[in-house]
Amino acid sequence: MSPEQTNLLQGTLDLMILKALALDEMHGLGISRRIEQITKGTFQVKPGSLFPALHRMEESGWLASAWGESENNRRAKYYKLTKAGRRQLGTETERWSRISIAIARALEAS
Amino acid sequence: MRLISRLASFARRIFHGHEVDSDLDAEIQSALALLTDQKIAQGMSPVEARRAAIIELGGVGQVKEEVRAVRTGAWLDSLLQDIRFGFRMLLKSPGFTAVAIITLALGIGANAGVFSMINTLLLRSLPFREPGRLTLLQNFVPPHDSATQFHDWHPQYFSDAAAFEDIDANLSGDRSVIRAHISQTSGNFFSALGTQPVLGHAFAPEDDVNASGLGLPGRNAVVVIGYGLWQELFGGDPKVLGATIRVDGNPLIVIGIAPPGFDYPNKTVVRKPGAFTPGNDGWVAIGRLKSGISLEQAQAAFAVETSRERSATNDRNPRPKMISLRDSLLGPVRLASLLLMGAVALVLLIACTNLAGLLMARTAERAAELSIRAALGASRARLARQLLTECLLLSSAAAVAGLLVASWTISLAAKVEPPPLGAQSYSTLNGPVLIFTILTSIVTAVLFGVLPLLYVTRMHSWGVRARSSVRTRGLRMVHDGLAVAQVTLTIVLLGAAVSVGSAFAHLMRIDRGYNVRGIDTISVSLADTTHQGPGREAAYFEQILDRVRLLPGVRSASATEFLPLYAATFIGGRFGMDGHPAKRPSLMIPIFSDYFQTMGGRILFGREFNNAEVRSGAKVAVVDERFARLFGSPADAVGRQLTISRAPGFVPAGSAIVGVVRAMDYDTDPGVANEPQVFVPSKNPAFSSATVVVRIDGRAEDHLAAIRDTIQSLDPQVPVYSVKTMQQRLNEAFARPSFYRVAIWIFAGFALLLTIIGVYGLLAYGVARRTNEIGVRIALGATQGSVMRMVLWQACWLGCRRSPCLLYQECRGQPDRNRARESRCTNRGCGGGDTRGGGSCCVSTRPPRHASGSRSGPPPRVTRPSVSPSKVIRRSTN
Repeated sequence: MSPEQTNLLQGTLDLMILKALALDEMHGLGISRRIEQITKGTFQVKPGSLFPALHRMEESGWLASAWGESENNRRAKYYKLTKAGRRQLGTETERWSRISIAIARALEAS
Repeated sequence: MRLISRLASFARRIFHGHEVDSDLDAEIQSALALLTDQKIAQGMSPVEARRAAIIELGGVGQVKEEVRAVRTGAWLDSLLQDIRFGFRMLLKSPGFTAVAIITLALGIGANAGVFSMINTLLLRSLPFREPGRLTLLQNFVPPHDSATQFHDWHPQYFSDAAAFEDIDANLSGDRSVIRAHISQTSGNFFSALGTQPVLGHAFAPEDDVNASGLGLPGRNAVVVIGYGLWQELFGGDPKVLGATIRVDGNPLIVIGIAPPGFDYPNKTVVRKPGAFTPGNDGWVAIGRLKSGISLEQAQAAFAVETSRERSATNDRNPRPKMISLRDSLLGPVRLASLLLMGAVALVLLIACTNLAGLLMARTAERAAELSIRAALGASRARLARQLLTECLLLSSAAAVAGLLVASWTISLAAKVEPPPLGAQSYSTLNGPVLIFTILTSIVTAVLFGVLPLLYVTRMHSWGVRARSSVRTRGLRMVHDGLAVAQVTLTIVLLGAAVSVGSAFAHLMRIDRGYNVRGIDTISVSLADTTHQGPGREAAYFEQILDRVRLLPGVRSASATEFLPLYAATFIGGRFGMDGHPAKRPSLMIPIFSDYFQTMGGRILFGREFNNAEVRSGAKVAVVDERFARLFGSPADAVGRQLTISRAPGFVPAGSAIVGVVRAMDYDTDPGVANEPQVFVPSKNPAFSSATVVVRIDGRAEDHLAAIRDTIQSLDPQVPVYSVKTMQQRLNEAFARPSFYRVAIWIFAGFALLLTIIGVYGLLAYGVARRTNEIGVRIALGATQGSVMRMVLWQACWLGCRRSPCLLYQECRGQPDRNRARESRCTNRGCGGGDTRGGGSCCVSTRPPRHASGSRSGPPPRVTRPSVSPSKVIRRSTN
């Protein structure tokens, strides 16, 4: 994978995670399930990339985590957005919509 | 904000690392459990579900490792981990660690020591103001007929110029008389150098006077004494100013104390204002360059000036030269120090090669461990970093130990090659040396760590193959290469050692014009004693000689004012023959009777002085053959007249030449040609001092004390010093080259030792790795003897084939190589074909390849049906 692609995907992954957590707090697997669901299966996040991303974002202060009970009574770590996380979601959303509009225009122009 | 939260998490990990880690573990385990639940819900069996969950997760260990890798300061974590692990690995094999650290410590320590010497000698500045602008004029005597004449001499490129002359003198404070080195200087000496007395004041410019002799009392009867002398004579008493010390009997008033360690020129302990007198050629000039004028410009201007003068007077003296003061102080040691540095660098390089071999072997041994680590999620870069950390641990431990070695090296060096200005001492604990040591240890670690690193990076990500099959040709080539590099470097160093040694042996074997063995020498100075006075000194020395000649074991005795090897003070002048002046000045050496007989000199024509001639101060002279040759055949010189053009007061003129002798070696530097020599009877010793020389039957050392006591008993008040055999004086004079020779020998010996250990290690390792193969050979009928022969033969082969000369031969061309290989194949039947660049240790359960075919492309793996493996093995073990 070339570095550009990684960056793009990393940016995408961050946005997806932020978006997934926008409504409610969730544990790691829940997040990946939610992302699959909201993108209608386009994005499948592997745990191998999900967990590093979660920890990175927590370190950046966008996410906060706490232990809780899962739906089937298992202990799981729940993540939720912090204030900074919400702000970040705002900026990221704006950035992505700008980019997608620009790309859409570019593709239409031909 | 983001930074703060990152730092906070970093801090949490530092202080609660364990909690953070178990938290992560719990998180991943819970995710695994949830995933498993999910799979079970989808209908899988629990075992299957768990397996599928692990696969989907991508491995618990790997995920954890990836999470750790994205955290802030992950590098620090892994570094600490690497260091901990490195420590454990090193402690696990204490033998290897000890050998490695000792090897490196010696290498790094010797380097740091020599660097510290060079740093002090060549790199650090002199304790003068703007030392780079100070110059010394070599082979040049400034105008000195009077003080005014000197001060009027003011070349336009100098902002200031000073002059000095240094001599030995008798020195007395309140107590006994000692012999010391003193100098007389022009009044501006201190200001020209840009230094100040720490106590009192320096001379005033008008302090230097015109005088017709050395050290006359008068208005210049003041001295600035050295710091050490102040401590020694006056116990550092600040009230010393105004006290009187006597230099050669003249009372002089102390007006200042020089800064500690300031002993320029030539370890001077006392400086007095100059007494300028015509005909004294001992003055040396130093100058401070005007700002804006470079040394090169000044040199050019000086050369033009002097060459004009030289051609006008038809001067054949060595050409005057302007050099920087630093070069004048360090000239003789620069090359030798750099040579030494090169030698120790080679030693360190050999030590690195040695360790590289050892580490390489160790890394191969650790292949299993490394592949497990790789399987557990360590990236190749991570493994490489781990190995490099181990190397750095080794080398930094060695650097610490090396500093001890360095301080030992330095204390040794300081004895033989003391720093030229006492203010500067060799020290290990200063910035540049420490930085050098640290850098050396890092470079060293990289040097000996690079091979194991390459090994790891070439490792397949799924791990290396099992140990017994790691027999890649690349690895073997590297091993052979290391052994060869070591041997080659050692040969280079040994070669250097041998050549330095033989140069030194040559230096000691040189014909000096006298016989060093069996001579005792004892110096006596009559300055400031009751025996000083016209005619009385010579009589006193005659008395000494009369007594000494009666001692048992003494074959003959004489005395001279200047011994061979002592050319510090030039006394002489422009002598000539029958009124024709010589083109070069000659050294004048006043001697007593029997001098040549005692010294073992060779009289070529005529005779030496007899007793009566010396006593009466007859106008006779003996010249050396070079002087005689300036005026024709040496044989014709006897009977002619010795004349002098510009006569200083104490040089006799119009003496009859009674003998021609072989020149004696008066200069310690073999590169400097001796001046022609003129020997005259010592009627009135110029410095009231002379050295008694005694030829002994038997060992010179045994009689030294008896002779000294005899001389001392004549008058205990007279200072008797430098009680040494001639051999001792010679050794002292050549202490420096001898030191360098010994140092190089030690380094070469050390290199040899390292190489032997290293090559042994490599070979032993090579054999150990071939255990299986050797087992097969023995099973197929090879005897123990033949296996041993094979190993030995291959070791020799490694040595011979890879020695530099053969390496050269081999590089010369393909045809040679092929021919060599073919002949090898026919000789040995096997193994020879397997040598693509380095394969002496043939590992051939494989059949031989075609000689010409193995050169290019991947080695063919086809078995030639006509040769069976067992046959090959049996043949190769024959």
